[in-house]
Amino acid sequence: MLRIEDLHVYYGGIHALKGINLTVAQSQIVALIGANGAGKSTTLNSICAIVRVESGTIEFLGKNITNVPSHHIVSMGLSQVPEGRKVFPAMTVNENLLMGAYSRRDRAGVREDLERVFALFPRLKERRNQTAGTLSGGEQQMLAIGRGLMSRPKLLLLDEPSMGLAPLLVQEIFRIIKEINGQGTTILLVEQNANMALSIADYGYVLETGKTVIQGPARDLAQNEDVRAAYLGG
Amino acid sequence: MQRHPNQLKGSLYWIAASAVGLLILNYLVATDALDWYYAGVLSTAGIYIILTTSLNLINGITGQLSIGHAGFMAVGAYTAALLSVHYDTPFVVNILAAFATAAVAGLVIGLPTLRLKGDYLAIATLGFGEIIRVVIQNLKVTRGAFGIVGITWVDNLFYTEIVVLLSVVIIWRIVNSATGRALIAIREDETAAETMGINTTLYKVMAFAIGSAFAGVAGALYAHRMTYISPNDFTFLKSVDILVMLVLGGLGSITGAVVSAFSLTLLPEFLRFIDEWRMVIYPLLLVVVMLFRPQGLFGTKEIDFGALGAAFRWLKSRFGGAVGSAPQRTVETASPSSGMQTEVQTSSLQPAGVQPDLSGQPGSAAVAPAEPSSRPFLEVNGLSIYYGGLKAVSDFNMSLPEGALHGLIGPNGAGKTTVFNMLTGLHPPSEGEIRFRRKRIDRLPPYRISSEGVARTFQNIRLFKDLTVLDNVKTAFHMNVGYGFGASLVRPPSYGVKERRVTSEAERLLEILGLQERRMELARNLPYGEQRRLEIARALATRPRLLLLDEPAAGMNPQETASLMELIRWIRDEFALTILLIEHDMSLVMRLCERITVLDYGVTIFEGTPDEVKRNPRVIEAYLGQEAN
Repeated sequence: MLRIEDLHVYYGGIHALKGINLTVAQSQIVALIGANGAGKSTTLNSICAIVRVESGTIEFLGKNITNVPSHHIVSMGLSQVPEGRKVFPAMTVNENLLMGAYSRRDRAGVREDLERVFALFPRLKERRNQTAGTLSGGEQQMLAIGRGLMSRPKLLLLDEPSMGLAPLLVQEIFRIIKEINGQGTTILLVEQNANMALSIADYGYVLETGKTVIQGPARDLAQNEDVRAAYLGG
Repeated sequence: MQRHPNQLKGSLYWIAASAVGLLILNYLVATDALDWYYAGVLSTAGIYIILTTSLNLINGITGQLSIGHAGFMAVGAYTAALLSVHYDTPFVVNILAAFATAAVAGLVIGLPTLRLKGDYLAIATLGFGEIIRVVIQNLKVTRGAFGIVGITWVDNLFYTEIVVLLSVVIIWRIVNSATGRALIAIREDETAAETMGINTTLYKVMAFAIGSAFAGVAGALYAHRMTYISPNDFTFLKSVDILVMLVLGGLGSITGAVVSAFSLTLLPEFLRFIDEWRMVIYPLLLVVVMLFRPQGLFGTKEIDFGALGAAFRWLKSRFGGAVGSAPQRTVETASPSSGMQTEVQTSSLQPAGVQPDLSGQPGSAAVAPAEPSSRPFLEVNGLSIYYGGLKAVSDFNMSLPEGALHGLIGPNGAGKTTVFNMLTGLHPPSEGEIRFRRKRIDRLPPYRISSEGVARTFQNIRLFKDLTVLDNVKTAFHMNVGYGFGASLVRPPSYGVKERRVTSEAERLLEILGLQERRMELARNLPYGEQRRLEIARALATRPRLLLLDEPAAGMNPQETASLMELIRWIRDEFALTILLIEHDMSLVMRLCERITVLDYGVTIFEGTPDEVKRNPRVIEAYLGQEAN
């Protein structure tokens, strides 16, 4: 579904990505793990053309989408839930969700998906007319994921969905991610909480200083000695 | 560190260059090579240079929006004109008097408006610019619309240039000192600046008054050059002209302001040959520049001789003997950042430098929590805060002994960060009291609380994003630079010593936090976890006794979190700190904290040791869930 080959990205003078190779197959959950600054978020941002790709190719559903403007990519069925939530604080929950469906023209479908998001996150339904800025951190994360789903993506990119959430909520968010995947959405997940990420993922990649260094089925990675020592806390 | 000799050399270069420039100018005028008309244009350029650089201090450096600069120019011009006409006072006296009256006008406008955050200043200055003109138009002493004639004629280009030079040098020195760092910090993030111990209101008013005062000086120069002034010389359009020059040069760049004011004054003269087309070409040029360089010609950068040298070398490598036809990329990797990559690679799986040198002597050996004092280090009683009718935190109590490592946990939205905001004065509590080292601090403004020794980091990271890593930390030394405003203007030898000390102490903190290799990068370019560490370095630079950490491990993987835990414990001992931290990562909280307070819906539901917290059914239900065991 998504294939990245030999991806290189520079930030100013810094060579941030030095050859990323990864594949996401239909209806999988794929996890990217690695240290701070390894290039996980940069990889997601280059898929969505938020940062410019210097060389390499990104293919989505067989089409080359390298450096294609972000809004085109969204309408092709790929959507990103950014790191740090980035909800529109002065808009209501409802309006935020509708912004996620901005590129769609099928009103009935949008209404259907709105109900689907509210079914996934009953908390959002309770607060549908509240402005997003007044939500707690966990609710904002739910809103960001819900907004990402509103474009009815075939592939959803999640950047650190568990960051800053209470343990109880972390468990809930991961349960919901699994549920979204069960409904047929493919997921590429960047997570610092590597234990959790690998526990729900099918396949995983370990990034180190801008390169993919280890890959394998998530269960194998979780058992791998090196990975355990470096990223899973022993 | 090596920058300082260079900086000194840089300023010597500037002085030499300006002296040579002045000599040439005066020679040209004296020998009639430059006719009086062009000498006049040059002094006008000088006046605009003062106006633009002084507006830059307010709009570019401090980030406030003043759009009535011509009003302050008018105050200065009329001060000088009246003194000259009625009392025949000398030029120098008039200049100083113009400085003083415009400064007072700046204080009158600035004091009430700059206490508030937001764009009130823009509206106030817009109003002031118009009001002062109307007042002048209707007063008897200013002779209304007739204006004032017979002002002593001082059009020695030399005098003008001296005043211009002095003004620019003074503003340059203000900007390149601890004061300037405070002003830039206000521009970058006012809230964070306050928690660094910067009295933001004072600094904003000061920058505004000084900027306005120099507009007054420019007005006085103008009056003495024209010998005739009228209210129509100081319309709103004049303010806009100055603003255009500033924006074109680059908000925040002094050299940009100088170059832009100079060229925009001269440009219409050079365009004279196309007659009225001038009026089309000039605005068109402005539009084109703004389209292609929206940040202005210079952005916030300054040209110095180092940059000129680099540009020259670049040109040479490009066009000159291109023997080493090295691609551009290799030039870039020669920057300090290249070191970082190799460093990261060698440390391989070990996250970059989180591990401090634990073998070092536990400095100041203040590890032992001092002698048991009769009262706790931090004591919080019945703290509550209401937002509208909503009680965000109610009846919060806490008592920390010196040297404690205490955790504050609870669901999202429970009020944990609100507690931090009350402790640091950002949100004054509605009820209750906070005593820190026996002193009540709950009614103090944030910068005073910071100077009492309370520092914090922010959940949503509030770095000065467009400053370098090093400058972020240097800014936080604000309260401890050891020199005053006067010293930054006069620059006695001790000034350089103290500035170097600030730099080396800042670099030491960066070393401890594993950020030394990143010191010249912009804070915005650091990955999330490193931004969090930079916030800790910045907080430590205020020399706190109590450190509040708001989710320090967010965005870090388990291994990094484990290193961070070691680091927090280590800095507590090394810097003799008491630490209160908010965190959702239970592996960190449970292993690091000695005691933990649990909040839910603004109410403390439990306080105890980690083991007690883990077992408490209420905490499990509200917060931990099943994962706890």
